[in-house]
Amino acid sequence: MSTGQVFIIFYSVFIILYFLAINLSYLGLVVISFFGIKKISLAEKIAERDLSFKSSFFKPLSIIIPAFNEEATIVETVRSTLSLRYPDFEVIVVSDGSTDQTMEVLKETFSLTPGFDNYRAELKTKKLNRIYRSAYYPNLVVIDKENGGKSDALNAGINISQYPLFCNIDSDSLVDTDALLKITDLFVKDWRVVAAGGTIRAANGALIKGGMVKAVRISKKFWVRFQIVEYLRAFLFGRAGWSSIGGLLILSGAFSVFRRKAVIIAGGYLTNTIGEDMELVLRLQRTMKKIRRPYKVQFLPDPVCWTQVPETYGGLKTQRRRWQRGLAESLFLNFEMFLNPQYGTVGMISYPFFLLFEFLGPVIEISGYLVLIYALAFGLLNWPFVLLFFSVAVLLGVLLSTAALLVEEIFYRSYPKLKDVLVLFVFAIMENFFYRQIHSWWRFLGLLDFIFKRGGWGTLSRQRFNND
Amino acid sequence: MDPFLTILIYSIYTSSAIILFFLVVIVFLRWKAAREEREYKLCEKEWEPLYIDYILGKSELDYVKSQFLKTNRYKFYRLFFTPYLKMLDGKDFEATKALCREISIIGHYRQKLLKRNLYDKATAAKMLGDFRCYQSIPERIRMLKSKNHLLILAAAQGLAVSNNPRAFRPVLKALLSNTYFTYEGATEILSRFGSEICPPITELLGEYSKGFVPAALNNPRKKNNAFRSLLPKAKPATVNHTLLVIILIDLLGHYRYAEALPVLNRLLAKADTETIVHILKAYLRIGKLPAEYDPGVYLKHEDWVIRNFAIQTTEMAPDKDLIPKLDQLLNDENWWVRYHAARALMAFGDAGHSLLILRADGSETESATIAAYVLASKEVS
Amino acid sequence: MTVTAKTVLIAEDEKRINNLICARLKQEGYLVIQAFDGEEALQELLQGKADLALLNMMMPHLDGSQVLKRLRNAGRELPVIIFSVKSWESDLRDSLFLGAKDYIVKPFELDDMISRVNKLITEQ
Repeated sequence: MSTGQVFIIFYSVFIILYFLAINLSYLGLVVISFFGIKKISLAEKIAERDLSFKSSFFKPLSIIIPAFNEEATIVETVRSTLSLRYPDFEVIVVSDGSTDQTMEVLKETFSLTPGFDNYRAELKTKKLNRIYRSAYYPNLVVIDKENGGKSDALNAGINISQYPLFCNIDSDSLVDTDALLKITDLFVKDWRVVAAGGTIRAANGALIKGGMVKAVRISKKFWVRFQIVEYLRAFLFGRAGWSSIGGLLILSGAFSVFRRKAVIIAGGYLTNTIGEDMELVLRLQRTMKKIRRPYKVQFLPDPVCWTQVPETYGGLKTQRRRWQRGLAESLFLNFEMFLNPQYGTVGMISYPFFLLFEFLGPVIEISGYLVLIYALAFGLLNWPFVLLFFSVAVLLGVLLSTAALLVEEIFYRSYPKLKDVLVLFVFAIMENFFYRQIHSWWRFLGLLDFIFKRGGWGTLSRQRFNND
Repeated sequence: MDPFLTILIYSIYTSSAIILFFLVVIVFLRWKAAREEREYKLCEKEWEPLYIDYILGKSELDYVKSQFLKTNRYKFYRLFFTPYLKMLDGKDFEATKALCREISIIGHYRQKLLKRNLYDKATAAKMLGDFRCYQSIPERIRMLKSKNHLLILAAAQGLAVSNNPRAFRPVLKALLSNTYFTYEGATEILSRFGSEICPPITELLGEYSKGFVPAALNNPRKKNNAFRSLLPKAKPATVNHTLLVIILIDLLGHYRYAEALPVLNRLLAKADTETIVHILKAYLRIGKLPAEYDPGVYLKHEDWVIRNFAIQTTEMAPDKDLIPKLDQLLNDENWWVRYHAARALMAFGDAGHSLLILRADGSETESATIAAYVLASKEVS
Repeated sequence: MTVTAKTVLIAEDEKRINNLICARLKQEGYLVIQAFDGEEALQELLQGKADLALLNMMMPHLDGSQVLKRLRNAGRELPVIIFSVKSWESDLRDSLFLGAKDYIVKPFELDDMISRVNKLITEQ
């Protein structure tokens, strides 16, 4: 046998072992998260939410909304944010050098008056032009600043914020009424918590009225249905599982709350990375470790943030490419966590998992397909074996996806129509037949982006958020 | 046959079977939930008028009790009664509780408390709290020593509303030493104890204020140390005197315990920044100021939060002499301080109001802006 | 002289509590309009049939303070009692500032609620 053929065989074996490893890990996560969610459900039943709201003993919150050219939607976003159910909070809108009528529309609707604020710029940001307050709502602040990107806008918001906790809500997201209270409750009940997040769900197709999701329905759009199943799996198993063993690596930027002081010590958001939310959570953990402050990063599956997910092939592709690149950047900017026992579960288990399976996953999967096909073509492996193997691979994936639906049904039952759940079940099966493969391809492209575009970070002029 | 192939084939069979099983379970759970929902709605329809008549005094307890027992659907009791238990107080609450006692719900949860299952114990503790049950106290105090955070929380919450001040110290101790609660979290639970805890707290703080020498408090040889039994063997970073003291201050403020004012003012003199904030907040909540309190020094404090609260205390006792000080604060570096200073001036009657108008047209931008802003907001609302 | 029955509107999203309050008010001789969210409450109040309103602060769609604000802006002067979950007095002061005549803190006693309602109705 030639060395080439030997290599092929070895690589095939490697692929099979890799596959076993990844699936066993996921199955492990599933089991862990089932018990984790069960425990959280119990905690939720015990929590005295009404009394918490009634009490004067909660942590006030600053909500930061970065905006760039959002004249059409910003008023609605601000209005619905101002009417969130939370005892005491401030809303900080940061117009990141908008060139349209965003500022004018805000000035008019909320009766903004300019003020001078001497605040200590604990984080470095681009220049702030003016800070406004609303005559109607003293807890509404609007910052007009030079364009610097989303991270820069967030940092400016953090500088101005006066409360111990802050959260970033994207302008196209809707947070559930009680969601914030549930998340900040984590900070009240445990002083170690420095960051906490909730679940993201697809708002596409849901009935939204008055800034609230009134009826939960699944979208009719093909690509959205895959994402619904995907998000369920990622959050119910991924996040919940990691959170319950104290190994949560990342939180979703769209819906996470942070302890302001901790973030400032860590240095705020980085402006030269695409995955700024992921990166912050990683760096936050490193910083807390360095200053020897006990810390916790937590996830709650129950509070939901609804967001519009891409509905087209193109939109989804761009988004996932960006995410993969963001993940890569976040991982490598915090590489010292890799297999570093100092960082406990996160360093020894989560980080390697993400590096090996989430980051390298697409590469191995794509090369795996190529190698296996090649091996088949050249008769190095018999095709019944490969076929069966592939079937098992797909079925295990389906198992995971459908298990997510089952857990969803047991604990949350968010989709009232049985028909919707059955449709999702079908999509959970289909997801593993070609969505997953396409997804790997997109992620592979994202990885290439990361490798080849690394030099091109810099500061992008006139950055938009939410390109997709 | 190749063993690998066999494994693969069996894996395929098993996986497919499990997937189908999931589908069946999902559909089954749905069906079951729908059925329970229907059942519950029927129960509710029957129970609601019975309950309303009972509360309104139109039916007797015995009759209502027998009607409830007749339907024999105890699994829905909790769902049915919880909103009423949460919303009602006084006579109506007691009536609801009496009914629940008669149909054995309370007894049921008292039994459940003794079970080993974590879920059972925790929900039982919570429900006993909802019922404001003053029995099964020892068992719940024992739960406070559990290693499970959830049990401690459930027990603490339930004990807090049980009307038993004797449980105060164990709960305080448990919250501070066995959990990672912030002071807000602990105070929130403790605040449910009721105002009977105010006199002993005031006494404790009184002793603390007289002998404020932090090192001595930990001195085991000091005999009259009121805090000694309270200071638990804590996880070192979480408990220090400030935490304990501010929790107690917050509670006094929460209950607007005016008798504590002299003690608070004594504490104020030697307090650290965090404690000062809480004492001032307490004054605001109590709604009265101690006779010897002078906001002057706090209006000039370097911490803006303290300046902020100090300004708000001036609104309670508008003293003309403070007007110049507030005037200066219109130019403070912090927006909120300027804002509250302007608002406070509004409370100072004509003198304050006219000063604001003067400043609004004045040459100094900061005071002008904030004066104009507050005057405008007043019109808007 | 016959006294015409007065109408009270109760805006509370918790259905059974709403029903209970409604029953108690009826027992006292009032006519009752039930609303289960802020929008419904506002619509009914703007029609002008109610002599007094009991408003829950935290309601879906339109919360109590919004309803109150819009009501006053529309020139409706009927007395309003708000149900508040918050017990901190300064927040309640703000609500009174908004135009409510009285407030009831949850949990509450039905007799207490009735006496407040009676008081405001007779004051009119």
